[in-house]
Amino acid sequence: MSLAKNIEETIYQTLAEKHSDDVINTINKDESLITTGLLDSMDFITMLMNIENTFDLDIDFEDADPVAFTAINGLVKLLSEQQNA
Amino acid sequence: MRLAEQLLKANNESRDALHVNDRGYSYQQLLNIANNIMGRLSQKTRSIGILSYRDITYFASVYGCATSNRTFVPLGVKFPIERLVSIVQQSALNTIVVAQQYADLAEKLSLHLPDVTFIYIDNTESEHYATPPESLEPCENNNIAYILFTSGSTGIPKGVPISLENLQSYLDYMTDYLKLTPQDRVSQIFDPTFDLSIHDMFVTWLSGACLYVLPEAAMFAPGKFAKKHEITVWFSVPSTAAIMAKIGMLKPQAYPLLRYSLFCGEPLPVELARKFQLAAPNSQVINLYGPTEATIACTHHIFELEREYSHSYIPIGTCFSHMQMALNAQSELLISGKQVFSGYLNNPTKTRDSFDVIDGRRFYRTGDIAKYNHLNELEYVSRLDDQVKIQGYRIELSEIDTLSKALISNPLVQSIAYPKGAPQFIALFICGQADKNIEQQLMTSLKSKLPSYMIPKKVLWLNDMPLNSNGKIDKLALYAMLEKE
Repeated sequence: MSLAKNIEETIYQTLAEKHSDDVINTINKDESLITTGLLDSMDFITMLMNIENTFDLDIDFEDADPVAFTAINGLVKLLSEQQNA
Repeated sequence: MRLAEQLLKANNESRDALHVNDRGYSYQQLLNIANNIMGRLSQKTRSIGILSYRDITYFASVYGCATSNRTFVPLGVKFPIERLVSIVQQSALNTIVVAQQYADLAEKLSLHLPDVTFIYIDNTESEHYATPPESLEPCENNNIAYILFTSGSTGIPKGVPISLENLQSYLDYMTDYLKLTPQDRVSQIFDPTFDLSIHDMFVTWLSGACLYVLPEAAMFAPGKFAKKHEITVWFSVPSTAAIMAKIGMLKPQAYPLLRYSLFCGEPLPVELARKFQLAAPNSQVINLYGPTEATIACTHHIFELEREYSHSYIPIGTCFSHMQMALNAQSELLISGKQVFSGYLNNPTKTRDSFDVIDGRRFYRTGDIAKYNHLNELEYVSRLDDQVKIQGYRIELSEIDTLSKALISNPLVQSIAYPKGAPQFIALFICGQADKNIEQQLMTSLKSKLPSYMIPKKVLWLNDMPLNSNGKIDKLALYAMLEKE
């Protein structure tokens, strides 16, 4: 499985700990998880640190747009790019 | 000169006062919108609730209240209905200004508050000239600038009324201390129910500068926003800076335009201050401290890069020159002076308990234990009670415990904030056989009564509650259990 797929799966696992399947099935992958209230900023950071450790990534969001990287698609894209960089 | 007159004098007409939701508002536009909103109130209305969140309606309503000597009470749009009702009733509000976006919430509120008038404001409220509302003369029973509510140990939020004199005293000192100019671009990150947001607005508008309101999605990672809008004055809780450090947003020289990097609301770690200083090398990194009851802040310390700090946290520093401080026998920090409020709303008992009189002077008891270091600067040590702060929000753990005990009819409940020292979340321990149904019901009820930052993130069931030799719940043992989790 590709890194991107693995990261996406980890994100969904985090969400599953907090929300029912009904909620998860309706998530728009391009919408910020924070603005929609699905995760708060602390949950989000905890998840990021978890992803960083699991996949041995060095997260660098210096110039990233928070609206994009707090959405599932945006986050997966940004993290997979960092792996290749 | 009073606040209303000062604000109108500093009104910079064609310059921008506010940048929110991708558009700028000049001082003249802000005043016109404010006057239009105020024009919809009955002339006798002395105080209003504002049900809105960091949008033009919110800022213009505050500006309108301040320029016409009216009291404002920010109503948290994410607060549960029950809490909002309590706040409105305690403040005896009869008028609430509502941004159209929160009409549904207002509708629900109105069911509990049949005598309150709700005034709906479209975010496109006219920017054209409107006759200013009649400015009310501050009088003995109406000298309140704003009322904020904090967590109360009994389960009912405590109202903290701040008078015009309290606020004026803070603003006179702070505007002179920072000396912002009309060229400054100031960050606006704080929630309206947090008094640091009051600093953001008035220090900016009294200086003719422009307030830049961070969009919600950018709130916890504001680096890009700060660069894009060339922010010159930064003000956040240390937690925000800690997150930025973690995700690569505090690289050296990242924010060369910042003149001030202000922090308040939580202890500021030395390492973090250092990182921020390197990222914003041309700024003064200043740690501020103060309880809501003494108006926003009353001590400061300027971080020194070359200095070897003896503790892992920056001192809270020295007292503002017009305020007085003392430590009592328990090393509790006491504050006296013009910024100190006169007492909690409708709560004489709590008020009496919160003040000490020394040599005829009234001192507010902060509940914070502090000490002086060898340079005669104040260092924060810990709390006297079980109040904790998470991302700057004040939380009385006993409020969570009192509610939980009543909700599940179980006296053996204990919440703790973890990790100790710089807590990030609340864990709730319940003595008894684990029961998912009870747990779910409890969480649902708590969510209907408490703001989200007070909701426990973890619930742990214990067959036996660990007790110490005094027969009290052994919190250290509970911390140890969480360590192992």
